[in-house]
This record gives sequence, structure tokens and C-alpha cells, in this order.
Amino acid sequence: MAAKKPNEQKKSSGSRKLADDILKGIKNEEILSSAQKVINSAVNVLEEEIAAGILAAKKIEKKVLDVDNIRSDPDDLMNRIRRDTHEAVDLFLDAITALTNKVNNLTESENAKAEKAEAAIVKPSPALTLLETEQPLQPGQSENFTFTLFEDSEKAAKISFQKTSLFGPNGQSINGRALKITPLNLTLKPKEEREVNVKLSLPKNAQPGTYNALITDSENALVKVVLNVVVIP
Amino acid sequence: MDTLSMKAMLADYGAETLKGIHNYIPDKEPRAYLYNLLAEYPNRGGKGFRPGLCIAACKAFGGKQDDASNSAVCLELLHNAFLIHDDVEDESFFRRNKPTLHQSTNTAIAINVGDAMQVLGLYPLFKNREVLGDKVAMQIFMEVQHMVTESVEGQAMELGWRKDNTANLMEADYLRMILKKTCWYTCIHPIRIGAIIGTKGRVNPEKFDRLGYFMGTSFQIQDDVLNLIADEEKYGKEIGGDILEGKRTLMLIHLMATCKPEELRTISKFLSLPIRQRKNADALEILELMHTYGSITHAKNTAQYLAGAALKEFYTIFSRLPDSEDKSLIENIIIYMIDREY
Repeated sequence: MAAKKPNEQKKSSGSRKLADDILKGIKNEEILSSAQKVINSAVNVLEEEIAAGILAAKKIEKKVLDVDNIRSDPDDLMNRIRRDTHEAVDLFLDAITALTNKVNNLTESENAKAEKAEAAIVKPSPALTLLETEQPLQPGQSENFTFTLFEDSEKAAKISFQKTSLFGPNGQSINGRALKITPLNLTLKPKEEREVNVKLSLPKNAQPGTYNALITDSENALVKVVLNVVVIP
Repeated sequence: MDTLSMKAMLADYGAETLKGIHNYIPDKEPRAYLYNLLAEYPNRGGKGFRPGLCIAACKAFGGKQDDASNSAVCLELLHNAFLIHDDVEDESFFRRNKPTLHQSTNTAIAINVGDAMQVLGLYPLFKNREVLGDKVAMQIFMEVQHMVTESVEGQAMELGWRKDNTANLMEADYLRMILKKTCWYTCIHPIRIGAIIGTKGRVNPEKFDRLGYFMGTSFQIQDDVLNLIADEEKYGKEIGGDILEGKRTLMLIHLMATCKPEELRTISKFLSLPIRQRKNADALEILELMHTYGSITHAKNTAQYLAGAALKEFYTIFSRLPDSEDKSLIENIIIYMIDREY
């Protein structure tokens, strides 16, 4: 909290008193139930409208961009892919290049699984998610990221995340312990959507540079998340 | 911060925004029936809540005023466009103590000026790219797209009720219409956009939805109450005009749900007439019934409850931010909404 000048404090306490009076008035038991009723009714309307908006937006996305159709044709997907996704793909490739043998082994194993799967059934193209900070971070700083998983098939899917270290310039790396994924394991029901949190805690001795880490699902090659962070002194 | 300081801050932000609007108006023909009117209309003033909330939220979250100025200009241009079209749709006579634009020119010219204002509002959004970068600029573009969509949907709901002379509305219907028609563009999105700019896109804008919704609804109900009981000169619009226009306010909905069947028939008959055939005397009779059945008190109480809920949301979200004049400004706007006389 920043320190306040005395006259500002006085003015502010006047406003706060009025605000307190209003809140106190509402806490009066006689009108509490009416207030609660009004607010509950209002909140229900808001939640319904937000849900309706999300549904309508998804329907429009479906009409404008037929995801299923496009996913079955990777070339078409590349033609339509947006600029920011291009950047994400570039970063992903950079990250892959920079990763150690451990990651190479991991990606080879994932590719092998995907190839096997392709022989049996046509799988959608891999979905790539990019997590990045708007601003560079300093050693010792933390940042929270979130991404959403959606199970669009009719089968439940078990997800077990695995992560690499963060790989930076000149062979520098930050141990994967700096990344905490919550939840680490989850089961997605058909058509279910779940949010996943990733907390990055940079060690105090992190060296400056651009770092990339890869988060994948050990069971499913379709889940690939690239985390990109710039560390400054 | 007192009400005068709050109004002074809003006036400052409003003046800066007005300057920004004028920068975007083309200096060319046709002037008489387009650009001059477009330049003059925003000079009528107003409370400046939208640019004020946007700039204050931006600064409260650590951003600079200049970063929010393009978005504030866009919000104010769209607001003015809505007002011009709204007055045509409602057949209103006065706006901010002056004849409405379609009264002082004609309906066709007013609609065209409103259209031009909407289009003009797109350019500052484009210019946002230079100040805020592509990602945040696109996020704000989508905020505005949602804001306008919700507003026109809300307006359609209300116009539909009037056209169909709907008489069986519930309070939840009113809350939904106000959420869509007023709250998104008066409070929710201005705060969301300001916070997005202030945090460089790192805030979840949904956390401001309830705050803006409670603020906006409280404000609108209070505005509707003042339309019936305020001092006309201070209020700037004709008193009781909402009844003549057949506007479905919380008071009218409450009255129609509580009055006797024969009174309901009289009200429905009045509302079924074209606006210009409605008589002032009948509107006054409906106003009397609103007093008799406690509809105005009910609306005032509802506005008070919602403002209290807005204050609670405000303290929940903003208490972790450092104290600042801009944070106080938002708090005081909420308090003002409860105490204002016009």
C-alpha cells in the first residue's frame, strides 16, 4: 500500500464512511432478505447471459471455421492458420531444436505413438498452445499461466502431464522443478473442459535469456504446450 | 474524495477524450450536415462515466492515461452514436438540455450522423496497435465487438416489448434487458478495457463483470427514478418522459404486477397508443399510481441494494491495489450513483 497524504486520507475516510453506512444499511436484517433476493436474481441473469454468449460465440466459431473438417486436412489448416499461431509454431520448433536429448527422446516417442495411432485411425492435427509472459521476468519472480483442455471426443481421456526443463541460450537451463502444474493428472469426461494452471518460479540465480519448456501429456501426443519466458538481469 | 472532486476528475478525463474525438473527425466536406454536427454533438457534455471508468481502471492497475485514450475515444463516440439513434427510436425531444439531434435537424440526418460516429469509433481501435501492440489491441477490439453486440440486443429487447405492448414482464426480464442494453457498455466493458490496458492484457477481465453489472443496473434504475421525480433543469431531459415513451422501467413493471386489474387495463391501453397520441394527463395518472403502489420506493431500494453489492465487489477486487486517486474515483462513482439528484 502506498502512503497517503493526510488530506487525501480525510477525504477518503469520508467516502469510506458513506460506503460503510450503505453496506451497514443493507446488513439490516429487515431488508437483508429483500436485498439478497434482488442480488441473487441479478447474478442469475448475469450468469445465464454469459453462458448464452459463450455458447453463441462457439456456434459462430463452428460456422466460420469448421474445426473438425479443417483438422482432417493439415494442409488446409496451415493455409488458414493465424499469424500468432505461426509464431507459436516457430517458437515450438526453436524450442525443439534447443532441447536436450531427453526432449528429443520424448518427442521421438510421442511421434512414434502418433504414427501408430495414425495407422489405425485418422487423428486430428496436434493442438499447440503457447504460454508466454507479456513482460520479461527477473530472477526470483513468479508467474502464473493457465490453459484449457477440451475433450471433444465421446470418450473420457486420462491426462498425465510431463514437463521438460526450461532451455535457454548457450546450453543454459532452468530445472523443471521451477514449473508446477496443477492438476498434474486429470481425467477429462466427454465434452468436458478443464483449466490447468502452470506456476513458474524463477530461481534467484537464473541467467538472462529466452527460455522455452515443453509440457506434454504422456498418454496423448495431441497435447503440446510450449512455455516461453524472457529473463532479464 | 468528495463528489466535486469526482466530477472534476471525470470532467478532466472527459475533456481529454473530447479533444481526442475532435482529432479523429475529418476536416473536409460535407460539413453542414455531417462533420460539424458530429463535432458539436459530443460537446453537449454528459457525466463522462465511460471514458472516466476506462482511464481510471487503466491507471489504478498501473497503466498510463495516454495508453487508454484511444479506447476512451472509441467508447465515447459509440456512446454518442447510441444516444442519437436512441433518441430517434424513442422519439425523444430533449437530450442534455438541448433538442435531440433529429428534432434540430431531421431523422434521416440524425441517423446518418450516428452511423458516422460508429464508423469513426473504429479508427482509434486500429490506432491502439501502435500504442498497445497487436495482442492487446485485438483483445480490446473483441471487447468492443461484444459490447456493441450486447447493447443492440438489449435495445432490441426493449423495442420489442414496446412494439408488442408486453404487459407481463418480470423483474428478471428487466435486469436482463438492462444488463444487455446498458451495463456492458456503460460500466463492464469500460472497466474491463481499462484494466486490460493497465495490466498489458494480464488480467482476467471477467472478474469485473459483476462489479460493472451491479453498478450499471443501480445507475440505470436510479436514472429511471430521476426521470420521474428529478428537477427537469438539472436532469436535462423531460420529466416523466419515460412514461410517455412507454419505457419498461422497474417502476412500471412493479406497478403492472401489483395494481388492480382495471388499472392494469388502463395502463395497457395507454401503452398501446402510438407515442404522439399519449396524453400527459394519463402519464401523470400512471405516475400517481406508481407512488400509490410504492413502485418508486421499490425501485429506489433495489438500486440501493445493487449499489451496495457493487461496493462489495469493488472492495474485493481493488483492495489489493495501491491507494490512488483513480481507485477512489471508481469507488466514488459507485457512491455517487446512490446519492445523486440528477
